[in-house]
This record gives sequence, C-alpha cells and structure tokens, in this order.
Amino acid sequence: MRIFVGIISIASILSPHILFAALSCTTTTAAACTGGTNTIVVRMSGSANAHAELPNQSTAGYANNVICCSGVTGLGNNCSGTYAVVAKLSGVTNASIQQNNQSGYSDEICLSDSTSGDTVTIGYQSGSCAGYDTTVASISSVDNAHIGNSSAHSNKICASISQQALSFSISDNSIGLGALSTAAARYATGDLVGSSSETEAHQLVASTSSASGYVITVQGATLTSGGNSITAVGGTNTASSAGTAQFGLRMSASGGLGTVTAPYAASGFAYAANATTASQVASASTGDSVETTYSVRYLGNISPTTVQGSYSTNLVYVMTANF
Amino acid sequence: MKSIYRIISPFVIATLSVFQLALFPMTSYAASLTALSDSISSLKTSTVSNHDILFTTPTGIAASANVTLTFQSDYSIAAALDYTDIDVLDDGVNVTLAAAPSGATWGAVRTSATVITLTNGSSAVAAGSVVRIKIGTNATSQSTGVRQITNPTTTGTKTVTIAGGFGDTGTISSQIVSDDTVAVSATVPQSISFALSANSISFGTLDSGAARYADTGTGSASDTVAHTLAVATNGTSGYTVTVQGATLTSGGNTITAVGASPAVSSVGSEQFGIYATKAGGTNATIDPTYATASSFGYDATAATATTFSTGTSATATETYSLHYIANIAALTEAGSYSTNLTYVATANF
Repeated sequence: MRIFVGIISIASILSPHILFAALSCTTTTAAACTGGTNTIVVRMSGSANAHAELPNQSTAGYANNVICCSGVTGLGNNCSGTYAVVAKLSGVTNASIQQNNQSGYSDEICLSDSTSGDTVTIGYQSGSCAGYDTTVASISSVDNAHIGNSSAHSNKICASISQQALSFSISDNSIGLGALSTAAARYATGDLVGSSSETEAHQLVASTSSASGYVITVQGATLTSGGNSITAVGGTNTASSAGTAQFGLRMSASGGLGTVTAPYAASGFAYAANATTASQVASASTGDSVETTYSVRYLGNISPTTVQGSYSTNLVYVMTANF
Repeated sequence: MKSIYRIISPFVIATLSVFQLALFPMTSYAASLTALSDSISSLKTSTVSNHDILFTTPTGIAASANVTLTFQSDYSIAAALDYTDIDVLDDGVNVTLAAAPSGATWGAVRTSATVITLTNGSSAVAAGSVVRIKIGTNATSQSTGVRQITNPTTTGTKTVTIAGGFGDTGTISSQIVSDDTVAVSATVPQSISFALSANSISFGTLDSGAARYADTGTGSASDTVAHTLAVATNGTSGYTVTVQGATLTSGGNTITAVGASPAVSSVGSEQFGIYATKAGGTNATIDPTYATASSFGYDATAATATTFSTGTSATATETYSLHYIANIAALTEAGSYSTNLTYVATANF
C-alpha cells in the first residue's frame, strides 16, 4: 500500500496542473453531486465498462455512478451558450458512447460555463489528461464504447475551463492639440484646447488572465486636413522639435505586467502607424489579471509651410489577447 | 491466497501503468488548441471588422476534416460572405479555397450568421501546425475580401470557438468596447508674414548721360539692390504681391515708366522701372514685367495696382531683391521727382 501512495505522488508531480485546476471531475453518487458548483455531466450504470445516460435522466441504476464536475462558477451541463461536447451517446439512456468527433450518435453530453469569457475545452488522450484541468471519465474506445470512471479505461475524456478574463478601455475618445505653432510644441488634452507642456491626453487600461498576455496596437493616419497632413514622427523615438512638422505619441505604463513597446516608450515621440497599417504600442507577455494603465501623450509641431486648416485623425486602438 | 492477491494487485497495476507510459507514449486523438488569438480590426460595437485568427493545432487537420468557427451569438457574419473573403494559411502558406473542397482545395462556407465552416481537401495539415484564418478585407490571397463580420451590439467579452471534425478545440475571447477610437484634432492658424527692408530709397541726381540706380543712400551709377521684400505664408493657395503708385513725378512733370514690357537701360531716354530676383521659398513666380534680370518694367499707376509676384502654395520665406532704374532725356524737366510705391501681400487661404 505504501508503494501505491508513492506512485500517486510521482503522478502528481508530473501533472501539477491537476492539483491546482479549478475544474475538477470525479465519480460519485447523484445524491452527493448537488449544491455549489456541482454538476452532473453523465450518469453511468457502473464505475467501469458501463452504459451511459444523459444527466437529465433518472434511471435508478445509474444514480450511484455519476460524473460530477465542480470548481468553476457558472459551470453547467448545457449544450448551449459557451460549452463543449464531452461525448455523444447512442440514446438518452442505456447508451453506448463515442467521442465528439465521431458521427452517428446524436445525444450529446456537454460541459458549459455561463461566465462570460470563460471557455470550455474537451479533448481525448490515451493514458492521462496531462495538460488539462481534469479527467472527466474514460471510455473503452473511440466509438461504440463503454464508459467508466477516470481510471477505468485508457482512453481519457479530458476537460479544461479557461477563464479568459480580459478588459480594455479608453478613458477619452476625443482629444485636441488646439492651435499649433511653429514656435512651440503643443500637447493634446482631453478638453481639446491643448497644452504647451507635455501632459496626459488619455489612458488605456488593459488586463487579461491569459497566460500569454496581450498586445495593443494603434492604427490611423497622421493629422490630416484635406490633402494636407502633418508629418508623422515615424518609427524612431524623436524629441520635440519646434518649427518642424511632427505628430507623435508616447506612453508610460503603471500597474500590472504591461509594458510600452519601443519606439513609444522613451522620452521622445513616435508614430509608425498609418491609415492601413497598425503599429504595436504596448504588450504584456503574460497575464495576471491586474490592470495596466497606459498614460498616452500626443505631440504636435508644425513648420512654417504647414498649410493652415483644421486637422484631425481617428486612431483606432485594438487589444488582442493571446490564449 | 486472497490476501496475497490483495497485496500483489496494486503492484501489478502500478507496474502496468509504468509499462504503458514508458513503452506506449500517449496518443493524442484531440486536444486543446494553443497559441490562440483573434486580432480584430475594430473592437467597437456594431462595427464591421476583419478577423485575423491564429492557433496551433496539436492534432493537425486530417484530409476532409472540417474546422468550425463559431462566433458568439451577437456577432453577425455578412450574409454573402464566402471563400473569397477568407484566407487560410497552413504554417504561413496560403491554401486554395473554394466553396466546396475538391482535391487539395479547401471548402469555406458561411454556415450561419455566426458560423463559418472550413473543410480540408486532400492534404492533411500536420500536427503542430500554425493555422491562420483571415476573414474580411484583410483576406488577399485569391482575391481581396469585401465582406466582413459585424461586431456585437453590446460591450463585453465575446468569443469565437474553434472546433469541428478535426478534433481540437479552443476559444478566443475579445473585449468589445463602445468606442475604440481616439479622435485627435488640431488647428493650424492662418499665417502670413511680409516685410520690406527699407521704406525710403533714392536715385540721387539723374543724368541723361548715364543710368541711375536706387539704393538706400544717394543712388548708384551701377545696378544694385535697393531693398528687399520678404514673404511667407501657410495659405493653401499661396499669396500675391502687388505694387501700386505713380511713376517718378515732380509737380506736373513725370519720368515715363517703362511699361509692362521690360526693357534694358536706355541712356538718354526717360525710363522708370524695376526688376527683381527671388531667393528661398518654394514656388512663387515674379510677374514677367519684373522678372528679367537687367531688364526693367513698371506698369502700375497711382490708381491701378499690378501683380508683382504670385505664389501658389504655402511657402517658407521668399525674399525678393528689387532693382530700380531711372533714366532721363535731355529735355526732361528739372525738378525734384518722387513717388510712393505701395506693396501689398495677400495670402490666399
């Protein structure tokens, strides 16, 4: 018996994911699978080599071996909304089972998650569910199979729920540099009047729980008035130069794991995007669900030959999470 | 005997498990997609957008297997969207798409307002491949896409789920916001600058035997710059400089102006005229009356201004150097001659 405990410990080290996963499935009785986030995914005629029935069935002989999943708010067994098909049954009860990528069976058993942004993933692996949150059950083969608890058969039904929490916001959608001058730089402000000293125009706030973080890009033309434009600084961080046409931005980041991307991170300004090409301004290589606030500043300078007029542009900021 | 079985049984199970793991590496029938992302061209609600979806498929995509992209219910795929609005890349290489699979060609169809189904042709996608799916005007492989997907009408986290017969599954979330655009405005005020280097010049004493040229002193016997005009403007259509004033006059007597056609100095004949040269700036043109070096003209009068120079666009400072000539005839009446010439620069905004 001591040896057995030792092997379980080794397995745990090999699959640390299992220890800490929020989603967990086990085989228990229907009576025990109630309350909290407990959800019956499928009912079985036994713990191994068994037939299956849908969770909404009530055959007495299937009540002692149900696959009960829990640990995630919003967890359910609906085959709608955000869900994944765990497997398909040949009927509502006394059924054989097949993987969800097989055809012929029409009664689906599902894992669902009503929490916005969460995703449910089902996979099939031989031997273990390494890489997944939990082993839902095991089946005797890919198709026309019997079902059992997580250890009964070598073909494992695996599940993960990824909580794809992410947020992105822009504090102000309309800013202005005011009247530009050949003599001194102007900086954009939220009141559209502009400032002669560098100041924050607006903020971007982003966060994600995704392990692979996110990127934020900007796209849009430089300041334009009809056929005239104010030259964008380009992809090199450049100091303000009064009397030289310049449109650029820079950012600083606070909180979370997000960082400003070069060339927007230094004390000068840059603008490498245009109307058809986006430019990355910030990113996080991993997610911690902590918001990063980006303070965005805009510079405008003109030359003596910058044609008079009302200049404007629309800059589109897009956050893309990497899952 | 029974107790021996109970003791041995766990050993047997454990041994078999180790044996299985060591000799039969896990075979993956289907798995979670990795490295997923969906780069949307706009996150704004109700806005048509392109999608650039990336994922790595651990299992690969078998020949004839399908891949479904199921967008959350409040996305709306354009009704006419078809394979011409889609690119599919396998490890960076575009595959050929059509409405239905045939040979190595993939099928790509809009199955519903929220589902696009891709069906592989005869060439399997290898396990571990990076699959990229572009939808919208960003699809340019076989043709440039024209139809896009309209964002949800509500803000929040929205998903696209990737599944289908190929077996792997995954979901990508995006944050839809009420407005993803920062409108930036600025004003460039109208500007024009105009300066004369001197407001008083003189020819000194005129002589029927030699030409005189004006300067800021007592005049010169040789051609020289009397004064300069400097003009700059950011007017869209540049500027115009005019000159107005009578020719040199003394009471009822005058020295005849050269007129609109420039002429070289003609000693012994009455002449009052100007020519100019230009430096700096961009594209101003000196009026032909004044544009020929060493040839002088003057066609303005006390009542009529004439164009001196014209610029057609915004310009940095353009500096004109003006040369004045006066010649008299033997019978030119004696007297003190003078005139006031008024230069006016008008910007054209």
